[in-house]
Amino acid sequence: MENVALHGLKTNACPKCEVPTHELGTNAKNYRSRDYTRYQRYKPENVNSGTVSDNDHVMSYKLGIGQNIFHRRDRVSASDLFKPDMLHIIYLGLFKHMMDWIEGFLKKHGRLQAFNDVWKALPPYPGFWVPKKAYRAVTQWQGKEMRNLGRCILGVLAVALRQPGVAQAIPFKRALGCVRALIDFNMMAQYRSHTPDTIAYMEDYFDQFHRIKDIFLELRVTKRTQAKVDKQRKEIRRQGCLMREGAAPSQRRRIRDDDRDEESELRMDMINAELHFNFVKMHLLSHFCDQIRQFGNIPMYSTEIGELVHKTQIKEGWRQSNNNDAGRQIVHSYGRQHAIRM
Amino acid sequence: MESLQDHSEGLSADVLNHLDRTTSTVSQPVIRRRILKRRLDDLSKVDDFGRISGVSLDIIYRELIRYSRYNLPIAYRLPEDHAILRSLPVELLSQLEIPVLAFQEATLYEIHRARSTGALHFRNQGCRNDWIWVQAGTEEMYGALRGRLPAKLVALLTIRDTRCDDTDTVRRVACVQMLTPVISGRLSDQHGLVTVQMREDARAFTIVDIGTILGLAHLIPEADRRWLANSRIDLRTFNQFY
Repeated sequence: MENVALHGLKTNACPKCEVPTHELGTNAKNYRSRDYTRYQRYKPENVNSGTVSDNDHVMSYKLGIGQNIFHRRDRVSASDLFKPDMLHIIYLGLFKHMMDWIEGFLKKHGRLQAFNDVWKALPPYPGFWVPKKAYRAVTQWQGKEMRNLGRCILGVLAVALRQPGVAQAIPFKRALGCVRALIDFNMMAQYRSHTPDTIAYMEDYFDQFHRIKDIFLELRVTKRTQAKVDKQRKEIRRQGCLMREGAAPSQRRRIRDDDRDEESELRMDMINAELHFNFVKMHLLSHFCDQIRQFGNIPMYSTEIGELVHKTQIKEGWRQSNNNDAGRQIVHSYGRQHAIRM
Repeated sequence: MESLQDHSEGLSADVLNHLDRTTSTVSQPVIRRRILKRRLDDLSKVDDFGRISGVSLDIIYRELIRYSRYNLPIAYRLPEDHAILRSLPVELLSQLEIPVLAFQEATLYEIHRARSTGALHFRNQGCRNDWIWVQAGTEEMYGALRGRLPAKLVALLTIRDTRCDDTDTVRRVACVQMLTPVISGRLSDQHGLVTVQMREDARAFTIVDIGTILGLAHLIPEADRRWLANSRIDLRTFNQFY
């Protein structure tokens, strides 16, 4: 959220590159880096005066560009100021999405109870918070819980999805492969030093994740899409009933089978047309490897410490203020306490 | 030091070495040892251990002799006479602190506390006997586990060999139930984890030196007597199994 404000971005716009919104969910990486000097020329007043083409203006509008406060600062490359952050992008971003998909997937295949049973039976380990409740009973998922989840989810899911039926074998394999790729990417992103090999592994995991993530696509169904699909299904069934009237039993069965196939195909078409992975956190993973090559390891830029000191630096300051012009009081309060402590 | 060495033909090598050691600004790596803690009082002989653990004395003697034959040099082996073995003083402990080098660090250690309370309760809850990794072979063995095997910690013991006053040595050992890898320790194609199992014909316990215990293991129960070795539990484990 802070990045959106600082870089003058609209939601679902990448702060580093010019990826269009409809391609955020792909693993395409070769987009031009953001150039705010060029964007200045595309401002509406310049467009009206005829200095740039309308196409360029439309392009800049689509990319969601506003005023970047770092633009025109000496020796500042505004597009490089954004740093990938594991807490918000992976733990609170993709892991949260992934758990929604997994929950839907387990529900669909009747494995949610098995998942909960394994979840509750996890043994202790140093630095690992052993879950006391069933997975669904946990109400608050913050960074700490999500990090914990990343350490055990692959094993728990593997146990929950064991011994699949004939029809389940392929979806289970793909679901496990997808989760495994994301978890392995997360593990490698935590390394504090890298070699070309580790970065190549990260790129492999990233590509693998994108190759098989479609297994969870249908679980990204919104209520609106679901309603559309249901309406379509009802229509097909009604037409089928009309056609089957007066037909012989064998013919009726054949028509019913055909209708079922058609219904399934239409459902998938509609899902494919409506559903997507185009959200910005999905795309930001593609910048991790370049970030490591350019600036070093990812944990170095973690915002976890900043989040942790919110309590002492801001919340306590707010409580001690009289709530009028609180910002100034918070800064002074913390400065005073820090000076006394020193 | 260099200038001293240039003008110090008269100084002996011992003196120079001593000066090098005492004046060097480079800190030497601290060697961490495994530490046994929390002694349980009601045990002083091997017989008592048999009574507490519920394992027959014959099995305990057999395992002690096996440990002695395969792990100790001839001069330091334990006696094989059951009467002498029975008289050796024994201490039972419930916690082993294992220093584990942190991932991508040269001097920073994490302390893994492996606990084995036997049948006793741990913090007013059930008994606790942790899973550990044991170095059971060379790197080429057990596929992706690379010579390590997971095991359940059954007991932590010190055995004092008091036969001769001048060779009064203490053996720090752990009784563990070893697991074996399924399909030779190959990673699963689907989830990339190794499955381990406790065989029906597995020995009641095996005695290993605590130096072979590498750290705590995280095993996820899969079925009766089968577990998945969770290699994503931390970066060090993730980097070791491939």
